[in-house]
Amino acid sequence: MTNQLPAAFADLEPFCAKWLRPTESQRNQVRISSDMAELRVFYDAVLPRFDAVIRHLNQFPLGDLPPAEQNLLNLSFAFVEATAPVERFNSPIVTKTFPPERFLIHEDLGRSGGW
Amino acid sequence: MNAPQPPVSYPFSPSHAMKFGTPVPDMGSGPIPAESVTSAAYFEREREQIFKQAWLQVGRVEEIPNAGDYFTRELHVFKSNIVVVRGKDGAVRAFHNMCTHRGMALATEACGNTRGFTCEFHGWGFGLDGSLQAVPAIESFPGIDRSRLGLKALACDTWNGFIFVHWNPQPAQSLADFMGPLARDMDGFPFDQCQHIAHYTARVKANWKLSIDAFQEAYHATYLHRHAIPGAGDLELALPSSVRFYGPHRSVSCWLKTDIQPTPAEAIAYKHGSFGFVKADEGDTRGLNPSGDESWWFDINVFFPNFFCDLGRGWYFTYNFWPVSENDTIWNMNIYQVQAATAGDRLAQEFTRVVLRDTVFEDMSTMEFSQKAFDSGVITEQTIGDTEIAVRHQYWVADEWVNGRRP
Repeated sequence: MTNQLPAAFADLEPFCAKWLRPTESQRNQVRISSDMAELRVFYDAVLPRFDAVIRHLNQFPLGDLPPAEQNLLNLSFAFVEATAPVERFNSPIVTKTFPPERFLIHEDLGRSGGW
Repeated sequence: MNAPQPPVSYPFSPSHAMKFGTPVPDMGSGPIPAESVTSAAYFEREREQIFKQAWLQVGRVEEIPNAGDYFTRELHVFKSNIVVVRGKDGAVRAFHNMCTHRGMALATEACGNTRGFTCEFHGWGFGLDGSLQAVPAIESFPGIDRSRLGLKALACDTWNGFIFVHWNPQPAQSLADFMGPLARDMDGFPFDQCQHIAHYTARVKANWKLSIDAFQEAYHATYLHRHAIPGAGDLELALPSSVRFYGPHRSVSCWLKTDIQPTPAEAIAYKHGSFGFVKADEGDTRGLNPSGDESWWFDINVFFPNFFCDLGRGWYFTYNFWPVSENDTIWNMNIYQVQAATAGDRLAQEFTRVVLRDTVFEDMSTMEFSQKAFDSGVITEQTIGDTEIAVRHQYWVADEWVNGRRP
């Protein structure tokens, strides 16, 4: 299988199959359908690498990332999603929550604002 | 309006007092009867006396940048679907999305671009300005006056790129006059430099005012948000730093303890990027913090009846609360941030998106229970504390408008 991330971050490749998702709603879905053990493994792997990830990505223009760097950014968005269960809730979903299936995360950014 | 009240001090907050930046209207005291969130008859009066008498925010200009761009919105409170379109002259106009022949919808997509609107039923054609331009077999309508059969318009105007409509095509009050000094306080904010980063909706089985209440006081933050915002579990945060009243509108500034600690992941992101949600202690302050509060965090700006535009440093978010019935509301949220320059900025901003979304999940966890309690008739009134003064203001203003007055 070809690598999806920049070579310097090959250690994070094993997480791509589950966590590399292009949209907010998909990343949230992976988060809330994971258990805490899975979330902690991902969090523990990325946290010590997060500083290096940002330093690496900052070398490229944000609007024109090469494919591997774009994947690394999307994986980082998934990491931010995963920090909430580990750092805040000790639960994949918000502890006292509105039903997630009735909360719609739209991907029509820039063109919508409708309901 | 009464004279400004002296600052209120609270025993749990020795270091901070709640200030008023404007005179405080005489809103009465005591519990608020639950009838205004449960009564179908009251809601019908709100439909006529509030929603058909106020300017309502329905979108942003970036959604329709080019001539012929349009979007539609379902406005249950008007029992209408509307279409908002940019004309060849660049003007933004709003029409009821209904053919004046026999009522068929003209635009059947959520958004698009068109040279005009042609009814799929019989082919009547309308210009982007709403004028009736084509009637197939017009000779079969003897005496037809095309000038009377243009699309039914709503008034439409913009403020800082926000598109508002008014039920009355020629309202007595302009949008600028309606929004008044609250909007002028916000005018310096760099709305035009912001990027749309999130859009959420939910249909909530609760009254529109009850739904709004969850977002205009900070008293709940200390308990409800103790997980989503670590550090919020401090009772001092229950106190708004300042509150302002502008006719029907209101503004509440919230403060944040300066020693709040970012989480380990946030701390790394904030080393490389600015404009985080709970850490933005430097940067552009135009349009923000009108009362000059110390430890200021963000302003909750509520335009009556149903539009929030909450401003922080480098970010803002909006809510719309669209009533369907007395106990059914469509909630709509959009988050915007100053355009990120680097991936570091963008990742700092991602904490805004995720933390804010999770916080809203908590906010929305309560309102359907409250609605059920009031619908049951067991709980017959709401007991409102002084820190929840924005809640009291909302019910007072709504009741004044329902009764034909306009504070």
